Amino acid sequence: MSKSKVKLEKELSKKLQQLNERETLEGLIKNNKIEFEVKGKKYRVHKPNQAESLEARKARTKKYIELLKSNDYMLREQLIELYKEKGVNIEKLEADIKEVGYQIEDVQVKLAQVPTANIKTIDDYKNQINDLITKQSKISIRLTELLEPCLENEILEFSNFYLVYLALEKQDKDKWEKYFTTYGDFLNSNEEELILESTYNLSMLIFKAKI
Amino acid sequence: MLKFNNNPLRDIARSQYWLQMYRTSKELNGISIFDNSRELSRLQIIFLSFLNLYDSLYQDLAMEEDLISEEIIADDIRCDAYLVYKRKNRNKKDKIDKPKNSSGIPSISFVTAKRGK
Repeated sequence: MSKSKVKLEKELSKKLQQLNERETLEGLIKNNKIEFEVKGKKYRVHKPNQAESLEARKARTKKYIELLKSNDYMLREQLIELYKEKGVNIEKLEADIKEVGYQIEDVQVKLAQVPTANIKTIDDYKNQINDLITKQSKISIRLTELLEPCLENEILEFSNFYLVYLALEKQDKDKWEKYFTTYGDFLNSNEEELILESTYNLSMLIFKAKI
Repeated sequence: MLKFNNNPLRDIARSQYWLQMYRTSKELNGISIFDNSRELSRLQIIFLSFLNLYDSLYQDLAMEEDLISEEIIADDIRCDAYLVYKRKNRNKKDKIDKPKNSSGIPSISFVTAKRGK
């Protein structure tokens, strides 16, 4: 096969892949349900309706009070204080994220004024922005890791799982029906792959509260 | 030229097909561009904000605003840079144009004479 033909085929397969990605994404945009397959079986998650959201909120409040009464968890503020004693400054990390944000804006203002013909300068500024975004993401990841054991995070995890229990459906012939009958069934389930896939898909449908 | 990847969701939002759908739905108030008209998903809300963004950028282009071009609209990083520049410039302009009081009428300051003078 000639080199140009190989190149053409590669381009075509890349284009088809992009087209597929685009079609998949457009499919996800069109409605508030996501269908997926695990081990040959069809499942879907949907954006929780008002009644389901209310049920999830009630369960979250109940869990929050339960964890607040227990001595096993610390609130975000308590954890920040504990870190301070250990020499880790959370507020400084938060300030660093903001500071890098300002640095990004400074480069963006410069980039906006560069004419399109000046490719090298544009690429230099784009690289600077990408480096700063990477730096900001690293601090952000570190911050998330440090605050992971706080009570608020535990509640967020609980809410996500509770919503999976409420929103996961299985296809039975032409009908869609709720997969887990009770939250207890969900907790006792050992279908890790299904739960992981459901959690990932549900995260595209609902906003997560920031910790 | 170095490769900087665009966000695929933004690529879809700046396509003429979706922009036209968005404009039509705005004109014919109440027509949904999605299968569902209520309980929009996180992805749909983000997508709508991108549609709104690219619609306003094409308006800027039509109005021949400073520093905007098709090339910038097609490029995520340059597009964000343009938006930051525009916001900062508008803030600067607002500060210059802003009257010193809310009515816009020049104010008279009354000076009270000190007692005994």
